[in-house]
Amino acid sequence: MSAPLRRAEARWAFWLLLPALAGIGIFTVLPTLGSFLLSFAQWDLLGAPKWVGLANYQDLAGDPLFYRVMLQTGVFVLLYVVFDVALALGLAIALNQKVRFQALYRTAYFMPVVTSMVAGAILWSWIFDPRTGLLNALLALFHLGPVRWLSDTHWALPSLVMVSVWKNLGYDMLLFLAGLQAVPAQQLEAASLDGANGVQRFRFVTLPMLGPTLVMVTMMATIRAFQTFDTVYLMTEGGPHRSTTIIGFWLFQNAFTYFKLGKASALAYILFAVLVALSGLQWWARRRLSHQEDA
Amino acid sequence: MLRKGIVVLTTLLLAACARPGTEAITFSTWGSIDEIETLKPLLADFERANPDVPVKLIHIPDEYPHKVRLLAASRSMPDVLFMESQTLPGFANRGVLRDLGPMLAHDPELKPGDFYRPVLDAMSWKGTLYGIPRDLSNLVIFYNKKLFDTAGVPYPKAGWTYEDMVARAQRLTRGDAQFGVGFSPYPLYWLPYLWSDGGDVMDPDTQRCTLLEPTSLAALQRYYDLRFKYHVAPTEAQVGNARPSQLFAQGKLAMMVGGRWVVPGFRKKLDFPWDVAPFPAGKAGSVVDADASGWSISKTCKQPEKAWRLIRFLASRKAIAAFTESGLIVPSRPDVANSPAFLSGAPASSRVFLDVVAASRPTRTSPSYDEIQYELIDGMTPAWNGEAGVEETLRPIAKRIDALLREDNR
Repeated sequence: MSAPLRRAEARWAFWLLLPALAGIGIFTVLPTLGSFLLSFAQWDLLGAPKWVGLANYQDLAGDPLFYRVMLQTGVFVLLYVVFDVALALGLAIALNQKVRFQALYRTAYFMPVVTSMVAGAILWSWIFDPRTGLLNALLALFHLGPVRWLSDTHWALPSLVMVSVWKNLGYDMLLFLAGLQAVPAQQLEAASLDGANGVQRFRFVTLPMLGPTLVMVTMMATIRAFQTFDTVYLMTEGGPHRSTTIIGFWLFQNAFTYFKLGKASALAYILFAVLVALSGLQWWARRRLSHQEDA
Repeated sequence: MLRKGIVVLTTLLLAACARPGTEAITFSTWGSIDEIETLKPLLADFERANPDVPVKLIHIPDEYPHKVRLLAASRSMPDVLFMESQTLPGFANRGVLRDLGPMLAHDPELKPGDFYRPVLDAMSWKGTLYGIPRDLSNLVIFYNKKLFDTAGVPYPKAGWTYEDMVARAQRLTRGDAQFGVGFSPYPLYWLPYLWSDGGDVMDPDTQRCTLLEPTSLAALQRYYDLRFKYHVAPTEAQVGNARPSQLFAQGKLAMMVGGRWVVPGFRKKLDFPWDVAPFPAGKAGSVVDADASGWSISKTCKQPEKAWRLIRFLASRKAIAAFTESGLIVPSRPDVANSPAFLSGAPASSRVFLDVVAASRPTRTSPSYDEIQYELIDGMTPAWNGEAGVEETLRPIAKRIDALLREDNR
């Protein structure tokens, strides 16, 4: 291919990409930069922002609630990622077998992903109802409970983890299913001819081949958990007694309930820094994993 | 989503403004469907009488301050805004509202004397008038006459005290079936208990939290006692999340603290006789809130004279009477308040709403008041559930309110 032609192609590519680039530029890149500047200002949406330097970050650093929110966010993310990844992998393995009504099960587990969170939240509020809810009725069969799922400061956060896992499980299950189906049947057959049992086949053949999927799903689940907002907003509004105030919800509250856009932007950038650091860590883990594969 | 929403809204507003010849006055308001149904014919009347002032109504039923601020940030703030006295300071303080004092002083029809003084004060910030009031919002005691009659208990009346209320409530409470008095975790409903005993959330200059002072602590302890000492107010374990107004409507609650806004529903739903009485006196008298709502003009409004004509019309005797007839509001104008528009229909003692005005006062607010309110609702949960004492629950809340007030005063 000659050089002038490539230039012509590049020109075409530029024009064709322009609408998408403009969209991302105006609606994503500019606001992102804008909110970085806002994190050094005080702004309540009325009038002009007032430059306050590092005051927003300093206020947060001196606020005990900030540390509580970060800790609760950490607990939420950890619980969410562990349960989500484990259950999604488990389900994917189960549904990768030849079972009857396989398609039905897969659809059923995927349903919450395409269900509106508002509908899901209403449904779960019924399930969690301390007096008439399904969950306490189940516990009562074993002479346990009743648990005040959403109004007990110890149970509210785990309850929200439950709802979030339910909501996104199907998506991650699907990713694992795709990963599992990419494991060549010959290798599994060879392993079993060599005398490997089911557990050994999974540990030494399937799991290494699933490595990249596992890292990807974990990473996505982590980011999703850190950004969780709707579940909290719809079900507990951060309560009771602030026990479910995690960073995504607190950020929204600061921005659109308290109109402290500066403080909210500072929080957003702290969240950004945490996510960048964690993603870096996970990429590093992935590189190590793939080195092992090479060796 | 939000950003796209703003763009769409802005475009729509621009399109609306771009009508050739006469530019419309944009007018934002909240309110139920019923309220809007009252407003629309009034606006039609106004447009007929003022063909040069077409009005574009922006109805924002939910999260009103939030959406108005977004409109302001996108430089499309409505010309005329319906405002509420507790959120007004946040706007007035930032200089986005027009000083209406001179317009009211020089108006040929509307006079300052047309309105109750405390209502004009509530719509002012630091001595400047920013809104022409539509209504006055305060709290009284609603009581179920049938339950009082059955138990042979005398009705509440002006001059009664907290102790009188407890004594009556004790005789009106029957296990889990019937309760003496309502209990709400929302500050709006327990602030009268706090104020009537001489306490408050913050000092008059809004510099620091005063909830840990002995008077405030004692006052909130007396509110707590309604549930856990006298057992005359229902707990969450007894009634779940049912609001006092719901329990009252079901005939399970003898007395509740409430505002005028419950009247239209009560007129329709209640099948027993009911009435209102002043809030009982505490150690410092019977003190309830004097809040208000009314219409403001934004600084960005290009045709303030036309906007004022709209407000003059909406605040006229005729229009205020129309708003009042549904029972929803206590009118800002004495001439309407003393007319059948307000006084006819249940409750028989509607005058109570007017009688308590003299001893009432606006709620103290600060730019962080939304956040302070959240702390007061969510933070008090352990105390109101009986899991912790009032003082130990209040200590961290007071500390946090102090920090927020420091930020506000920076």
